Amino acid sequence: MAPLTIRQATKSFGAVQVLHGIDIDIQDGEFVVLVGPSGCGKSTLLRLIAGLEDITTGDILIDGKVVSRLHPKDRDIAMVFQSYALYPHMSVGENMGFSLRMRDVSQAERERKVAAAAEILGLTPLLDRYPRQLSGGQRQRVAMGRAIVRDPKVFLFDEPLSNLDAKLRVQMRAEIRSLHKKLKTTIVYVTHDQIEAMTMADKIVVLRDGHVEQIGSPLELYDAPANAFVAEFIGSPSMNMLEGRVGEKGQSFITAKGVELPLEAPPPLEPGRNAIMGLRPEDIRLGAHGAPARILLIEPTGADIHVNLDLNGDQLTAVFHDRLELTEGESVGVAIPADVVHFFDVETGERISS
Amino acid sequence: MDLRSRPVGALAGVVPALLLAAMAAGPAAAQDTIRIISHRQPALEYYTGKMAAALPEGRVTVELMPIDRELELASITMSSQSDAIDVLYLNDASFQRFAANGWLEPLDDLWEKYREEYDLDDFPQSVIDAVSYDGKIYAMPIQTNTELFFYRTDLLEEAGIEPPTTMEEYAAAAAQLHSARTAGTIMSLKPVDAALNEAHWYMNAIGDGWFDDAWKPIFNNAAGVEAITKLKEMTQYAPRGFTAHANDESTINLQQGLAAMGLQWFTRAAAMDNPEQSRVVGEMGWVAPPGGGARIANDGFAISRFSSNDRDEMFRMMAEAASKESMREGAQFAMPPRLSVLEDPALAEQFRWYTAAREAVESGQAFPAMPDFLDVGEIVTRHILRAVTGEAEVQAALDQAAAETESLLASRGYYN
Amino acid sequence: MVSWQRGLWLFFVPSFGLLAVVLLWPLGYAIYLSFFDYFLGTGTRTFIGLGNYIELLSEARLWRSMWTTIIIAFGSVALEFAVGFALALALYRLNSSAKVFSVLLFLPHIVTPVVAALFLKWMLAANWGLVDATLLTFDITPPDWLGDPLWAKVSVILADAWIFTPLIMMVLYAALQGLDASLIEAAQIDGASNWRILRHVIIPALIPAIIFTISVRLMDVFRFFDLIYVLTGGGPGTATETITMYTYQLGFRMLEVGKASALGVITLVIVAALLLSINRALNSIYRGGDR
Repeated sequence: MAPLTIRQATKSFGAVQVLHGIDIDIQDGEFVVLVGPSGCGKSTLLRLIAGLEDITTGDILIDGKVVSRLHPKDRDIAMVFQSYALYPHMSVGENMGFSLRMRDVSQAERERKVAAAAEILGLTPLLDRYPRQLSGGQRQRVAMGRAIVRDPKVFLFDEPLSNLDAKLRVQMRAEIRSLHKKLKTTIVYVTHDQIEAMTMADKIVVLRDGHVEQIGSPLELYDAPANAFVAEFIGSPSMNMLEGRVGEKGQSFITAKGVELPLEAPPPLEPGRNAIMGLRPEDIRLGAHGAPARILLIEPTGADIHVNLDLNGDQLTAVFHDRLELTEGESVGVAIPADVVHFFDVETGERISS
Repeated sequence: MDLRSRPVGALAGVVPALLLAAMAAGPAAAQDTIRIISHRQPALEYYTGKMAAALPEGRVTVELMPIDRELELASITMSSQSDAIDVLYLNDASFQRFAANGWLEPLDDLWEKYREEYDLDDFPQSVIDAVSYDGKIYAMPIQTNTELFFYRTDLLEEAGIEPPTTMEEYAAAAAQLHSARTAGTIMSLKPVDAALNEAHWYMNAIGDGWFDDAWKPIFNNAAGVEAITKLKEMTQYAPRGFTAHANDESTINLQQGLAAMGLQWFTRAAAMDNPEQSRVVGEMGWVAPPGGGARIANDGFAISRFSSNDRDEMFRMMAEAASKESMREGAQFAMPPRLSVLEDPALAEQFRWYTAAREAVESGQAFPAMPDFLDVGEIVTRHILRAVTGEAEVQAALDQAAAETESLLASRGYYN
Repeated sequence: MVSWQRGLWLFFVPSFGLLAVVLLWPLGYAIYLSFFDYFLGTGTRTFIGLGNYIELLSEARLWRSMWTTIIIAFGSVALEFAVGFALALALYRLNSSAKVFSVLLFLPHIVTPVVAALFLKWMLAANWGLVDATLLTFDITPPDWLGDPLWAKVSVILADAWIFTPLIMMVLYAALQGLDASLIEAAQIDGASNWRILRHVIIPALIPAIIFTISVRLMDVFRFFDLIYVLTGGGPGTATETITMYTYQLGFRMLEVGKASALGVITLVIVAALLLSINRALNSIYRGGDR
């Protein structure tokens, strides 16, 4: 357990720079998730922390010690890979004890530690099996067990749940979370799935094209995204983005397609200014006095209903938790509650706040 | 796909097959040329050249190669009764084997027919006997070859040594003249032919020979062991790589001044005075091999029994090359078997080595007259080399060679 | 389930026919001949049952040739494997420039073995060869590469290694490409040194490829011919006379076809036994838990 600091880290592969000046501060025992679309550099950053890639410029500090140029084995970290990376010709017990064997720990001590880790993860009956005899979830746990045995300062996870089916993923999320509570180790977790980020993280780092877009707690990112990209990325289904301008009287927002949406509170923008309005699907209300829209598609999930609306050319997605009687093709009125509207600058995408 | 309705497809397979057959027939038909294979040394280059010149151009193809390869090629070709070879060079040892196998064409009728025209009576009976087997003539005699002792007159004079007449003197001279730049003596120990020649000399000069009267090997007796031990001792004065030296390499060693003396064939003597190849022109002298017992051979050319060419034509070709004029000219390369040429006193004046050669013929000894001596040579030379290189003790190596030889000869019916 | 049509077996006939002509018939004939005393010179054939086998197996020369074969075979394969594996690992690390190097390193293998043997022979010839001439100018007396019993074996081993190391290198390099890089990374994080990674991660993963290369090369090297024939002819004496060289002597020099066939059959049995035992041994060492 130790704090982890990344200072102005950059990484270039030859002439191509993939990470531009990353600064992240992670507290001792925090569960930090690095999230972003493919190619944003999150895996690269994780490998930088692990020492599997050389950092081009900048520093990485673990527990106050500069580890930027150290070999992975000297950084006191453990990593769980996307493909689990279990040694196929060794048993579960041997897999878990491998790192201790490399440090010439005595056999008795090794067995003790392996047994302890196996206990935590419920792997005790599987210790003599071989990786190919295990299911995906079991292999996942062995990979974690291998990391736990090391008792490292920082745990690194590289998209560990991507290879599991949906139900198992949900179960494993909870297990990882409870593991974190039990061990209280600093965890850096990489994923492209924002739901995983939202449910597991103490702190989320959103990355795009090698830049940090925003760092904050899940709810901070949800309620106050720093720019349009973060706004669209966090939340499922994505936030609806409408181009347009503020109405003359400052009481409505006129979309580029000409629909006037009344605003309940004055926007932090001057009238006539062009902006992008962000609207979360779950914040949309249907009412007789709202702007007219036509229902395109209804997708019931059982727990809620996803509705695609056509707003004179713009498409909106809305999510309702009640069982509303709606039919496709029907016309409805769309209304927006006061405090849940977000505005972003048209050019920079930055959030416009009052 | 219904094959019945695709006759065109079937034809498409037949056409290439026909082409292939035609191509195969082509080269077979073109095998009208007379193919001669021979060992490669100056005399044979000369004589095969004469054979090619005797017939219209393009009628004859000549291939020269080291004797071991030539014999191998001939064995394989003839054992499968192929007509790929028409005329081949054979020395006395190999000649016996090939005649015994029935691979050679008997020439008695042709010999009678052309006796007058080519004066075939000029060949002494001993020479004709050497090319006969079981009462029939099988080859046209081409050369009498004998091993001579070559030595550098200038080096020996400088060191005040007389040309050696005994094996001890030979050893002493070689030791004295051995230096980093020039080896004391050449030694041709490449299996099979060269090594067998060298061993033959030691085995007769120091040992008791190869076989007793009942064809049992005696070369592993005390005298034989002494002979090979001496041979092994001499190798310390030989140029490096001697286990791979055959006649060509040893000749070059002498020509280039890389060795001071040693046993080599008569046919290589002229090469010593060839200004284009030799650095020791005029410096080489000859005596009969010390201790005697060095090999003499009567070589000739024979016609394959499986040849598909006209034997009359081929005989005349060989007879032309063996004519009096041709042999007179060829006397510089090899001792001509023809009496009229050999007894010409001008030869000794013209070629400095003829005196030594005549003496060598007196003291020399041919290989044992058995068809299988070359096969015995395969066995014996391998084991002698093992002894020479130190892989085995001389006695043990020779004992094993004797055992294998006896077993081979037994299987060939020698002891029935 | 594929239902067998009548006449489907006819499709086997061409390839099976070819195999029979090229492989089975000569093999059968050789086995048949091995029971005869057959001297090609006179062409007489006498049935002697196991006579050839008994004679061969009680000959010192045969056992010596077997011993020579073993020395040369294992020496060659060990050298080729070690160097080939090292080169494959090196190439694996290089990444981008690997292609250029791999082509260059592969060149010795493209040359026909006989041609390679011929110019190696010229390089190693005593006094006049390239190696000797170079060393002699520095006043170093080199050993007789092809004429000394020990050095002849070494030369043959080196020549074979020169020609076939690239093959092993390529096969192992290809196998390395299929390796999951995250396994190596996990081992690095676990604190394994490069040597230990090699032993615990890379080699176990490469076992099928390793078994393949070692088996194939051992089989080939046991049937060594062109290289030795050109370089030393089996000499000096019998220093580099392997089983195949002895078989050649018997068959083509002494024309003892029956005995040569018997030796051929013996060679076949030995090589097959060797192959099976290597397979089994390597499998049991490394595939303990797997399969």
